[in-house]
Amino acid sequence: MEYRADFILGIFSQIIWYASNYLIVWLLLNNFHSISGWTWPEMAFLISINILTYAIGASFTYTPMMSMEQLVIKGELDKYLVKPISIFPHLIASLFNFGYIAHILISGALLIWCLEELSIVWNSSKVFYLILTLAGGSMLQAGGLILIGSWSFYFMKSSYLAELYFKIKDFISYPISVYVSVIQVFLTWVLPLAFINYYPALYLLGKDTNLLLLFAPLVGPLVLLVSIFIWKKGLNNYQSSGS
Amino acid sequence: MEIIKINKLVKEYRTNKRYTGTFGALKTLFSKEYICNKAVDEISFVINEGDSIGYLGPNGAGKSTMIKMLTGILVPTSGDIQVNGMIPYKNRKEIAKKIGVVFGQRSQLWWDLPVIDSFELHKYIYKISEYDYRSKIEEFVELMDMKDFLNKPVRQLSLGQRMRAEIALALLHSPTILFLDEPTIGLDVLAKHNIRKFLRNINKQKNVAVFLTTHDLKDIEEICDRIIIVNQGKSVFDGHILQLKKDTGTMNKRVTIEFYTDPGQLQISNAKLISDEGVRKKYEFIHTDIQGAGVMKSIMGIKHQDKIKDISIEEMSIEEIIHKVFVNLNQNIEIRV
Repeated sequence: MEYRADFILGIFSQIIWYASNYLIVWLLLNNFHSISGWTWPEMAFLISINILTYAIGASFTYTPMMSMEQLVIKGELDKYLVKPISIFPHLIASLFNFGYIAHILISGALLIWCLEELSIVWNSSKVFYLILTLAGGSMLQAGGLILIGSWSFYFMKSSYLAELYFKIKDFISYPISVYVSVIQVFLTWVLPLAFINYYPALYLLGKDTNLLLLFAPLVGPLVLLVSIFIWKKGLNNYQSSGS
Repeated sequence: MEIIKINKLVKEYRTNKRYTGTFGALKTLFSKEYICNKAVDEISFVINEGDSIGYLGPNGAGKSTMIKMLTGILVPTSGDIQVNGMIPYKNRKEIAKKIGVVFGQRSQLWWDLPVIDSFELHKYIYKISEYDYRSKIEEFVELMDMKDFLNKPVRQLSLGQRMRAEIALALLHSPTILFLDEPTIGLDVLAKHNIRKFLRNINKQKNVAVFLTTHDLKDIEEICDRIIIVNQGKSVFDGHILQLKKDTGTMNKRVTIEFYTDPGQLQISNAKLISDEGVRKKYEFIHTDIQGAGVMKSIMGIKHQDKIKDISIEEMSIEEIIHKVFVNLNQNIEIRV
């Protein structure tokens, strides 16, 4: 926030980037009407949840975890380790990123639009489920980034892994039912990103009535806990650097 | 009271074995061979309350590694380590409240915020009472002349100013031990002098133990009573500076006598000639227990008293002593290899 021009420019670039993301899908659906049974508002719902939960999760963990590489290689983690507070919350709090406000605004606005377009029969349990979805999704997104950060403790460089992760995460901009089964299994059981938006959407949009879907938002907190555990284990591997 | 106690502490760094040559990088990628590098090799020592220790050694001797283990940043490979009765890497948070750490090359201040904001944050993190905080700030601003830059962002400070702020920050929560890793690196003469004076003051009057690593031996001379010398991870000396002088045979006084005209060959009892430039002769006394008075007596005994223009008695500087120690170390290593 100390560099105002940078902050404002950052917000603009994000708005343009994400608006173009929506635009591509909208253009596609203008030609095809639906992708494996999903209409434009339903697709927009998927994308909105993905971006919104990412923005919330990333506000907390993106900057600290993407900095891990530098913190570890240059030994800058030292200064966090000599403070009388837990290092993980300290890192998250001190590197909290307000820059995601643009993500939140654009995806939040679109989510509200989708919810009006979609003919969901709302009741209190569905509202509660939506809130859980957003919370769980945010945790899952935050956890994914923490896992990438943890990688630095073992292998120093993590930027290529981050790139790979973001490419894979692009998959969930579409319903995973459009992909071959290997990718579906991968996104469900290996890197459970489909639990961010796809599975909760199945339930909310009434596409599937499997009761197991009710537990979909719980995957998020689970991933978050596991990722923090791995991160803390990794910390013991920290070697600092010579000075 | 013992505040630091370490026993046979070892820290090993494991690095992948690297190969050179055309396919070296590829081989490195698939190799599972490791090279173990002992940065700290079975070092033991005890530090008491209010001690001032200079931790010396050539580059790569494992000095920073030691500080990092003592402050809980690194987990030792083996051995016992206790700081304030606790194990640093296991009780990092509790230890942190009782120690202050200054890294010469790594700022703990918030780069973009004014200095005072870093202090405020520190007060909040360390739960310092408002009263203690106010009085500490007042004292440090006064002692280290920080008034001019208290409200400037850290990135605009000179290195000397930043270092003063770093040390003040590390002492805000009244630690019992202050660790400093090369605190005077890159500072000008005046800034160094001020920092040394301040550290000496803190150590002697506030009874804060000081543990510092440095390459500037003036730091050691002015701040520390005890020195520990390490080389290749092993402790090679631990004791008072006087003891080091005795051990290395560098206690002996030297005297330089300047004459109006060359007196020719000249003997001084108990001393040997080490350099002779005719009118300027330099002698070194043979016995370690010859003090200034003894030196005077010997000089009074020489012939050609009327030709003496000037006399100066000196001791070997700590710089020379340590130089001698390091050179000896290197020679020993060559023999071992």
